[in-house]
Amino acid sequence: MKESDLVIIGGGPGGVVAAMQAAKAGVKVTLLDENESIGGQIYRQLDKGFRVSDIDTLGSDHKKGLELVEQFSSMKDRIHYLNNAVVWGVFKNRTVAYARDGRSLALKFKTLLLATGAYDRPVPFPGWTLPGVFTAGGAQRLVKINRIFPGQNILLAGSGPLQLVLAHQIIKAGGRIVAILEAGNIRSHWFQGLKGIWGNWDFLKDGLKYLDSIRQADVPLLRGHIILEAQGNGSVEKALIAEVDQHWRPKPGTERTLTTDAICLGYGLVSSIELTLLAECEHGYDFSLGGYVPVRNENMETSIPGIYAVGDGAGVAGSKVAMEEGIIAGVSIAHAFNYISMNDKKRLLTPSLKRLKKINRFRKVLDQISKPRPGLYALAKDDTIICRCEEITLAEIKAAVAKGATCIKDVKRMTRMGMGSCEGRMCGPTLMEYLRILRQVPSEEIGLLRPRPSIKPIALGILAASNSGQKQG
Amino acid sequence: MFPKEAEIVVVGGGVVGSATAYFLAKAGKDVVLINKDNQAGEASAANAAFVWSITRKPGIDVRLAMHSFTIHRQLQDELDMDFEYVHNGGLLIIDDESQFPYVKTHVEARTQDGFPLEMIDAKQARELEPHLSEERILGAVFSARDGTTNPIFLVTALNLQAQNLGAGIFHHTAVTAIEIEDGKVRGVVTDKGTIKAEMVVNAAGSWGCFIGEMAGLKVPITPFQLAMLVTEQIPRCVNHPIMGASYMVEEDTGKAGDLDCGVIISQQAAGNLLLGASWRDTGYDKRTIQEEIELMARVNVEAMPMLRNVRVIRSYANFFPHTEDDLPILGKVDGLDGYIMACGHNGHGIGMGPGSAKLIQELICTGETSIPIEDVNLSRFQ
Repeated sequence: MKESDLVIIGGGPGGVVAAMQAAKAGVKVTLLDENESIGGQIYRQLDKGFRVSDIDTLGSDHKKGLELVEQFSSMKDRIHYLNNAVVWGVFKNRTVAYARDGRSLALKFKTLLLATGAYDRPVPFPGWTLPGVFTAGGAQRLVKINRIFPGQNILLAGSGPLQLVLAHQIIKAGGRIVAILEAGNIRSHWFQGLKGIWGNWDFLKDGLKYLDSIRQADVPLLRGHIILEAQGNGSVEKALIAEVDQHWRPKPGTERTLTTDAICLGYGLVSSIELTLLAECEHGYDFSLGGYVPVRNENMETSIPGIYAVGDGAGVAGSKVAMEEGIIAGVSIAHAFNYISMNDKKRLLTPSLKRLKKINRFRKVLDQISKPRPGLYALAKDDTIICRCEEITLAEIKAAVAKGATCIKDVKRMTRMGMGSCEGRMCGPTLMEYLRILRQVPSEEIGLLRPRPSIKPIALGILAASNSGQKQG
Repeated sequence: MFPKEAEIVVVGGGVVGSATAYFLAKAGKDVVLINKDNQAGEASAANAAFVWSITRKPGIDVRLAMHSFTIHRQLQDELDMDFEYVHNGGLLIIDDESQFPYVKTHVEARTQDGFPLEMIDAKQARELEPHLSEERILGAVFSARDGTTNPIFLVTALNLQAQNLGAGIFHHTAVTAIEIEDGKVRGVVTDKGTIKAEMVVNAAGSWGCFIGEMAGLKVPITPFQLAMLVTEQIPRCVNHPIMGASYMVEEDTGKAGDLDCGVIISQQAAGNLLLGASWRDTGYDKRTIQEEIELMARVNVEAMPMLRNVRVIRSYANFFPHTEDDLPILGKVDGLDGYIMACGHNGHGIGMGPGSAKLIQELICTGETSIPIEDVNLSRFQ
């Protein structure tokens, strides 16, 4: 079996920067990327065949992404890059299992860096399973990569400035937005007040420009509003919305209906922690970082020696933080392999540590704005489906709790919740919040859904087409 | 409120413990169930979902299995919650010439014992399970009474109903000691308090040896890891529980600790396929490894080529409580009044557990059992 000094999982900014940093110092790096080419979700490159006529539509993220690709390709003889590689397991004998080209393969590692990113926080409410309801990330991918609009009259609903990026991209590409619902109840000029953040939060560099284009396109930006219900016969036709108080609870009498055929939900992100969990890294609960995240030391190393984690997968903080963490991890790993001295390590890390400190100051403000409030988890009705794979409703969860379920595992056993193809990615974070509310206990008592390999659906034929699975004797 | 006393304390919240608590509560007994983990926390949640008799040996083994079938059907009528029990037959498939002698000897012995099995040819096997490989499958053994269930729902249903009948059910509670005085059980000490009781049932499965140790008993149960795969939900394509005949050979040659795998295929009501099973000696480590996941994929794709395109969504493993003679340990313990054994079902706890539990309830309530269980007493190991 092949062995690498360092195996990196994830080709987003954090993973790529770490790969370059470590490889520069002499570490033998293999980078496994689920996508066709590097960049991750934030710097996702266009599908082949699309030509960019207006680079502006794609925003500065796209330009940044191209820069990263260029730097990365200049180092391609020093980094073993495997694209379209779906990692399905990490095992205690320090191997990573992945599927590529129709086969299951194994890679041994001395050190492992997990840069697995984040995904949109799923928020159940009546009608959220109707065709025409999108996550903001999914909608962004459609618009940016496939140049397809999710609908003719698009409604954006969520919280935090990330929604504005999507709005800008839709408007610039020629799409029509009915309204943007911002659940946050910050005073009307909070965008201005946070000007300082734009420069530090990579997504938001063009924040004011986004606001401008929204204003110019006459798109109503409704602050302190939330979507209560998606309605329609077979697909989205209307959205029931309302004004909310500071806890995001609807104010009685403010309900009204908007006509829309596509609803894009952006209530922030939650970390993809399947691999850090599988690697048995210790996790801690931090709501503003996206729930459970791996505990790390100053080198970005987890509680398991030689296993590191960076970027949104280790706490949602944006691409800028991911890159600084990537530098820190890459340098620390190179130092651990004795490719660089302690002094060089310190010298290389000082600028990153400084920048991180600065970003973190602003982070707290941003977290305060987009942090989901209790009202968000009061939107679902008894018959609302919470677990989409197994079609488990809120009433079934309540019934399980009434019958004595105390933790996530109990609810899973009693209802099949979390046992579907998504392995709890879609329902796990929500279920955790519901149980916290229903039982009034801290998250630690609720537990979490523990993933077991394969963490992504992999065809049996691919698993069977491997060298290691030969029957013995 | 954690109870201070009870007539009977059942240790173990798997299928055996839950069914024992249910039957005792139903018989009007004051019973408390203590379970160290979640309900159906261990092997009762992670198994092949078989309610199976084909490979059960003549004598007490097959009698216990058949008796348990009756109890499964009884539970299907009695329990409020549906647990997806289907019993339209099971198949032991033969995919290697060398398996025939073992299989034929077994079928003859069972027939002589009065529990006949039907040998069918490859064509008949494929009529029952059209997706079986035309090239690989040489024949099969069919048993019309075997089937599958939803083990987690079964245990949940038993738990809930026992609770409704007045049983005290305490999950996430660990037994730390058993109090004994003058050769008699006096109580059970847990991390939540001590329960005064003159009777305790050891239904702790692979952990039964530790609950034995607490009473100074040597219970010869060792954990043996069995791993399985779960696929995405697909339309109904497998109608029966299917097992590879390699297990017959293994059972006769003795289980080595090395990684190996035989065919196990069943489909749950929700549409997920459960595929297995690989086994290894891992102590109490239930993590699965890449090699066994890939091996299970290979073995099952060979037996049923259409599986190639079906996607695996996770794996799981647990331990079947292994005894040297592959038989459970049931009944009273010589010289220790009030201590009752109900564990060691060797990977057939889901199928045999409810039957065993009913016998234990009869033993406690009447002193007699509808099937004699002397042959599976703990004393056979002394």
